[in-house]
Amino acid sequence: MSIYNQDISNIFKKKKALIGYITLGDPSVELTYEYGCTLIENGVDIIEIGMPFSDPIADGPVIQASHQRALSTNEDVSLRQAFKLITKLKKRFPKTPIVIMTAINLVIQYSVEKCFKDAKACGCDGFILPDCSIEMATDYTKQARKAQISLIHLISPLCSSSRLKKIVNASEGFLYLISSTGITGERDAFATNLSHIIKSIKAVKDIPVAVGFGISKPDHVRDIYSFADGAIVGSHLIQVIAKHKDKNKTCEALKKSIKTLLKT
Amino acid sequence: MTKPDRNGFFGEFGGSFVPDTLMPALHELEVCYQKVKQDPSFKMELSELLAEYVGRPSPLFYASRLSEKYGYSIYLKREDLNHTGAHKINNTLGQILLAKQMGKKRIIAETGAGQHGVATATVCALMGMPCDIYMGAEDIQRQALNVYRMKLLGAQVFSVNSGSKTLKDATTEAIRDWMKNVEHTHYIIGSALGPHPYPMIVRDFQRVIGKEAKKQMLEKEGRLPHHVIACIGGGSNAIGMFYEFIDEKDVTLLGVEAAGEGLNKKHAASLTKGRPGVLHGSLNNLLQNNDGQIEIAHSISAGLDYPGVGPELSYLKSIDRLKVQAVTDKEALSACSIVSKCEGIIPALETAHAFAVLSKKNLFKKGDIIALCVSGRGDKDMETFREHL
Repeated sequence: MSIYNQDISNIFKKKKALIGYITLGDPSVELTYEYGCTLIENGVDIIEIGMPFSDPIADGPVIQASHQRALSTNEDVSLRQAFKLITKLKKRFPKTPIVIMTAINLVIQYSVEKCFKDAKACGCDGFILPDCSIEMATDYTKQARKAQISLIHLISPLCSSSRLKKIVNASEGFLYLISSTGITGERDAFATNLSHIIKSIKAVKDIPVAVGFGISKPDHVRDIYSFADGAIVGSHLIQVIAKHKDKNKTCEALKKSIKTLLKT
Repeated sequence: MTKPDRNGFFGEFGGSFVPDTLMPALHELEVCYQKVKQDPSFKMELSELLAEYVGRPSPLFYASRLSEKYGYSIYLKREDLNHTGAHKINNTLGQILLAKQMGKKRIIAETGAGQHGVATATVCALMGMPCDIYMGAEDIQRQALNVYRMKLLGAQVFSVNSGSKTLKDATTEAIRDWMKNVEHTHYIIGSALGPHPYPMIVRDFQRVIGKEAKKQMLEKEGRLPHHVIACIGGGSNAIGMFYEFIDEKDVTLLGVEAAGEGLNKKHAASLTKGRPGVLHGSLNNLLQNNDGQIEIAHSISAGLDYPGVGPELSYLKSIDRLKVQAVTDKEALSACSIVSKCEGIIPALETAHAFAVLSKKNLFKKGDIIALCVSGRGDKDMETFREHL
């Protein structure tokens, strides 16, 4: 397990982890902070800050719409802004791991080395780069390790065993197992071989595995907790945020969603 | 001539920047392609269809009145005479044969101007495969006739309402569909773009343009041209036309991008004004802001209205092998009018950009031999012509 990300490993050591995704700047950067606090206070163990991108290929309609809302506010929703937000969140919740999920182009344009260095400086624990296949990841892995940032790779149920090995070996912090093929968003069916894949992962390296894509019901969480180390909730929370205009009502609704999801 | 490298890079450009879900499909595609590429029966089936169905080889036509007007020897590679009226079918035909080899049951594609959509719907009809086309809502409006064509050919056309509602967004949507249905669906990408091995495959299927042009030129002139010209959107007709000439150092390769309303206003000139970045699965020259958000491209021509350009052309530009000019909407329209009246050939708006450089001073010398790729015909653009000319 990662030595430089004690916070992430501590979480998984203690319990199953609930990981919550929110988009930076949807509906505003200030509210992203508020909603982040609400999630943490109500049982979310790790926060994923989603960077809005004009052309997200891995995301479903809910998150794509969220990105478009964030980009259309004219507020700064760059990585610089994300780093500021993380600084603020970390001040209040120093032990809660925070990772950034972003299209790789934003990292490239920021400059890879500087991006990971600045991220580390603000307390960011890791990066998820959904459009960076393991074949492309060598330089990014090197830079992230140098900055002591965890690169959290996605792994799909279609992954071959030789690629799985490569991905697991390059991963730090935890692994993001995609529940089924396709894009992010709510769905009914997960791939049937998830627990088998997790066994294969653990045979390579002792690293926590969280399952994401389409998790929206208490049943899903219960199911995933039975064979994985954590569950990732994204679109479901984004829908709650999109539905409520008022800040207090949104916080209440987020609180309720988390409580419901964790009802086991 | 052996590019790309193992990971799909042309110099620093290319690669496969995609979610893990797509990697098995891309590997499968590459393995299958490398295998069938050598297979005599595949080669024969493709070349027979190219001859009997597409009508290849397309002529290299000496444009005598244009030549006289400008003072150069101008030859036109007539891809507009292909079945469906553009070069796009060279690629769709090759790819549907690949899809069949891989046992895929459904075809998806993105389209901008609609030419690639029509070419895909056409080969799907030919092979009896279901076909879903993603097209930006704005393009659907601009190219209503092509939408109808696709439907008549049995395809379903899905309107894409996100972002700029053009080719970029249609491509994003097609990739997302592919992510969901990758096990039984083949994605026929329309330009030499996207993750490896697509830029290589599309180039190889479009290579026939330059291969024929070179041979025809040698027959007609006994020598190679001084200049080879093609318009560039994503770059499939351009790389197809240029590829056989890359190693011919005495031949200038001239690509023409869309300068839209002007290079300081809205345009689609990603080679001239873009920076390297990742969009739709590969690292290319892109129009983007400082943070890396993709900018909305503009061109009067839907086929050039894309904020990126393929990796191989990005590379050729970076090593200075490819020269690039940008041509405004207005210049393209005026070129279209000239070519129509001079040669009785109404080019597509995309192609009109290539013609427009003929009037630029200092690019060519008197008597130069030029081979220009007429990538498509203008039938689909009649509404635009009528409005602006």
